[in-house]
Parts: sequence; C-alpha cells; structure tokens
Amino acid sequence: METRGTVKGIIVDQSGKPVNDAIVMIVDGTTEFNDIASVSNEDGEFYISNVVIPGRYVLQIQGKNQKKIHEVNLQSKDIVVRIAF
Amino acid sequence: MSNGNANRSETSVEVPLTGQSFKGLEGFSSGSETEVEDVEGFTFVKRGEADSEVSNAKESANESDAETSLEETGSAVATDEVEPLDALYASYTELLVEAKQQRTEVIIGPVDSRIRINTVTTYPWRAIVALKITAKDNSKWIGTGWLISPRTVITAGHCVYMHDRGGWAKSIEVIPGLNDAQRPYQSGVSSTFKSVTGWINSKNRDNDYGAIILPSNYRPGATTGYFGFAVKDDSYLMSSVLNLSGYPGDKGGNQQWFMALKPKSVPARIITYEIDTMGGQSGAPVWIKVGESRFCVGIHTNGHSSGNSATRIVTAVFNNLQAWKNLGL
Repeated sequence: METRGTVKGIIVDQSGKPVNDAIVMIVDGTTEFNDIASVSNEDGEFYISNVVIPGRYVLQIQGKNQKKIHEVNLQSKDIVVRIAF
Repeated sequence: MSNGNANRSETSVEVPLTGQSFKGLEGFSSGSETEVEDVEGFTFVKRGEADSEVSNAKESANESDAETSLEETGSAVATDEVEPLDALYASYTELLVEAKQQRTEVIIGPVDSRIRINTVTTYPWRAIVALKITAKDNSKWIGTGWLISPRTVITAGHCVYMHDRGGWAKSIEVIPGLNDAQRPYQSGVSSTFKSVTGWINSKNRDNDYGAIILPSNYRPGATTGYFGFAVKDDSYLMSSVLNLSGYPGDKGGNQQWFMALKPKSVPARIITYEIDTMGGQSGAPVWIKVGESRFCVGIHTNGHSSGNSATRIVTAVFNNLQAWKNLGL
C-alpha cells in the first residue's frame, strides 16, 4: 500500500538567505502528483504536497527572474529538502 | 508536465464529434460522494446515504431534475464577437482567436505546446480563475478554478482541503481572468468550501474535487459568464478534443495558458491526457466545445510523465456540482 505525505523544503540564495515568493512545483516523479504549486514564505519554506514516499521527484523552482530544476529522493516525510537557488 | 507524443500535431486538429448521446443514468454511486462542507472555519461532515446531497431539501429537488439530462448549460453572459473559422482552426476553435492575434507567441513542439491567453476578458477565458490559497497553517499555494454560477467556483479537492496542512484552507482569493497585474474582474476572498467524503476522509484520487462559494457581495460569474458541465460516455470523450486552460506556476502563476488535445484514456472516474500542464493548474477546467456551447467534463488534478489527469465528471460528481452551483446563484 502506498504511503503519501508532505515534505518540507527550504530555499536559500547563494549567500544562504531565505528566498521568499518562489513557486515550487513537481514536474515529474515516480508516481503521479497533484498539480498544485507551493509558494515559499519569508523563511524560504515550501512544501512538496501529497506525494508517495519513498519516491524520486523532479522539482522546478520558479523565481521572478530565474528558475532551477532540482531532483529530490524522498525517503521519509520527516526530512527537510534544502535547495540553493 | 507530460511530454507530448509524436502524433500530437495530427491529433490536435481532429474534429470533436457532436450529436452523441450522454451517458444517461449509469451510476458511479458510492458512499464516498457524500458532501462535506466548510463554513467560515468550521467543518461539518454530514452523514447520509451514498451520493445523497445533504445541504437542504431544495437542492435535493434540483438534483433530481438534473439527472434527467446530465447536462448543465453554461452562460457567456455578454455577446462575444464570433469570428469566422479558417481551414486550420475549423476543428480547433478555442485556439482561433488567440492564434490569429498572437501566432508568433505560440509555443508548439514536443516539450511544451501551451499557448498564452491574452484575451482574458473574452469568454470562456474570463470564466477561468486564478487561486491564491492560504492553507490553515498559513502556507501559500496557487491553483486554478472555473465558474459555474455567479458565485460558485469549481476546483480540485486538494486546493480546498489539504490533509497535511491543517485540512480546510484558511482562505482562497479568487481572481477571474488574471493577466499579470491586471485584474479585470477584481477578486474575492472566500473561506466557504465544499468537497466530498471520498477526498476528505479517504484522500481518494477519484473524488478529488471541490468548490469555493464566494461571498454574496462578489458575483463575478454574473459578468464573466460561466461553464456548463456534463456527463459524457467513453466513446464521446475519446473522440473529442479536450480543452484545458489554467494558471501554471512555471509562468509565474499570473498568466493563463491553454492547450487542447484528445484524451489518452478514460477510466471510470478519471480522464488522462497528454495536454501539457504544470503546478498551479490543479482545478483547471477540462472542457469540450460543441458549437457555441462549452461543457466541462473533468477537473484537472494530477500530473505525471505517463499522462496528466482530471477527475472525471460522472453522475455523482455532476449532482454535487449542480447542488453547489445552486448555492452560488
């Protein structure tokens, strides 16, 4: 039986400061995923929502003037994904 | 986002079939369709028979009426200019206006075939809304919805109820026809939501749909018009071009992007397709255009490289949408 959960992430810039208002979405994964997008808060926090764990997912982080593709291997819903943007 | 197959360009110009019968009264009943609603921060789980609508007696009566037709007409409200069809777009008519006005901006290719909708103040685009969601834990999300009455917005269940983020959303801002910074129909904030037990209690993908009831002082559908919705059988769906438009996050979440394609498969409660989508398009309408009528047949919910998918509007879903529509008249 598949287990779904939500995993927390944090986006920081090259200097380590949190990135606010970045849009984070899943663009591919081992199983299907909800097509909702998370928006990072002032602490850079976002969520990967309702995904099958364990599983590998490809995230796209969309900022105002840049974007980044980032692959994550989610083994537990208790981990925190950290992304340098 | 799903990537297209080699036959996409050929498939996209197929003619949607018309004149076929609707699904009729075939049941997809289950106990998971019982409506659940959230009113101003309080959650009510109403118990009842399978598929029974529990809001009030008047709505139940309207549901019975709906089952005789299983088709709810939409309304464009204002008169839109009807443009003549050219050969290329004769069977792909949702693209026509956009294609003529901005052909150089159209992205067509094996990776991303969406086109941007700039004419957001024309129907049906103006009846599609951007959602700015604040979850119970104050986390922020973006999604899409579509109007079915002056104050009723249909969307994905996971846009109104997020199991791991406190349940019912705290509030959702609804912005019809959003186009970058332009809000031609202003916006409204609601904390009144609907969904069904299959999503709320079981997180069942087949039941991933819900509604936003806007405040009585904000009635955008009276100006923008709204979509109809209908139950269609497998053969009808498989031979029809599906239209999908929403607010994808990879474009910033403030622009409406559209694509159309025939479905890939039509399981009992789902419609799968290779229409390109992105995070932020959850809740987008999946509709068929027949003449000047537009009927939503699905609610976009999921992405995957093997095929994106919508919650299919079957009889039980139709009945709940009909009841929710009546709440927003």
